[in-house]
Amino acid sequence: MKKTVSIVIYLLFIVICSVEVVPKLIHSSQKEVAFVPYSAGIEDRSNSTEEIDYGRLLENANMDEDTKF
Amino acid sequence: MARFKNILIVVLIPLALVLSWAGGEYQVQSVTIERIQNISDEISEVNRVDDHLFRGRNLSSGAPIYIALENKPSYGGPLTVATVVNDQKQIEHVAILQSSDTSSYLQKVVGLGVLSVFVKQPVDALPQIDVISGATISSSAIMRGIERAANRVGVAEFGLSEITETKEKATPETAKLSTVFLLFAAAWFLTSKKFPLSRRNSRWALMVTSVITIGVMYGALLSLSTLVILISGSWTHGLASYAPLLCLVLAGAAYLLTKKNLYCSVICPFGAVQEGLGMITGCSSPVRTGWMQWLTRLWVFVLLAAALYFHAPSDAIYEPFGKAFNFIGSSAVYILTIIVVISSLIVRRPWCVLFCPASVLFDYFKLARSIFEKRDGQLSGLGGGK
Repeated sequence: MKKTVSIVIYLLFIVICSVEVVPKLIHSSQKEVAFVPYSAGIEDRSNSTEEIDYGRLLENANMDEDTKF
Repeated sequence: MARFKNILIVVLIPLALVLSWAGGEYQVQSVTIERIQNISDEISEVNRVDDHLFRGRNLSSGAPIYIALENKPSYGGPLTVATVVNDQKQIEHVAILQSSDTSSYLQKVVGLGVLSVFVKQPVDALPQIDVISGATISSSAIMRGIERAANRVGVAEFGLSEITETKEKATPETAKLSTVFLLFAAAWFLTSKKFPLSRRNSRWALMVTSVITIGVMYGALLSLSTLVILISGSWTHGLASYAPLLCLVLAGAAYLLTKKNLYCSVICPFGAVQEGLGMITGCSSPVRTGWMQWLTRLWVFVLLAAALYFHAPSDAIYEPFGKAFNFIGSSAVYILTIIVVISSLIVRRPWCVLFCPASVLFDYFKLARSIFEKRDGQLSGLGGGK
């Protein structure tokens, strides 16, 4: 019985960890080596902070002042 | 023969991991200029001036442009930013070229406007922006990196004076490192023959202290990404905190020198929480079969090699520590945390025994140590030295 429970728990761990890890590895393997993750320039300044509601964005980002990164 | 096989395994595993890292490093180093040109279609004819400074031309106007790179320590490791300045001392583009932070988290930080606020600004009068609450370390790395890179161009190309970096608000790094060191020293004393008090009670006192400090306050648990950071050497470029790295080094050193797994048995906050939950029901340890051990070892090795090759420590993060103590992590990690909590009531320390990468690491240490002992060690059946 304990062996069966251990196997079930182990399989749950490995499945959920795969769900977490595999997409990240696929993303890393598919991106170009010279890939630039984020950039901002004169031609695409529509995301200026002057137009951003920080409070709303923090709320949407599920972050608040007490959250530590 | 068994001894020779063990030596081969002990040598080949780190060699394979270092080769994985070197393969990725070779690719990254050879594409710096290509990466700069990928910031915008307007950037062309890029030439290297020194390690941090480049010159190029604006494709439309033909005017010269100056590009500077800067590394800053961020949440997951070093972060590289680029600042592109035109001949009018104005910033044309800013970019994050490389980061070890989790991509979904970095996306949220960038979405707050930490890049676009610098565009069109003159290098000699940059906006004074404080860090963003809730994303202090990463936003600081990005913004201070851009400012430093802009100043680098200003000094080299426009004769501006070098700006001395204002020191960030003091972090409790010394307190973190001291706490980790003291916990290991106390754990070592606890397991020594000279310890005069009740070992059981003292062990619990240490574990509770570790949960509060290393777990909740500092979030400095040892994880697989810590090992990636150590092997890749990215810690030499700066880290937000060296506490997990110190945990790893002290845990390894203590095991190799004294054969005591102080981290797993006394210090690991996540192990302490699982053990505390197990005490409620009085459950016993789960059954760890041979195929589980080998599958976990294979999982850890493949993940380490991949994260080293891609230079992405965050790719190796799957442990539920962040969610358990600091509420950081994805939905999958959230579900995993709940499963670990529930299963801790059924079997004792399920994560530690069945799937924790630290147990694989200590299996390796045990094998490495066995080489120097008279008796041959065997890879199968090693239990992490608990």
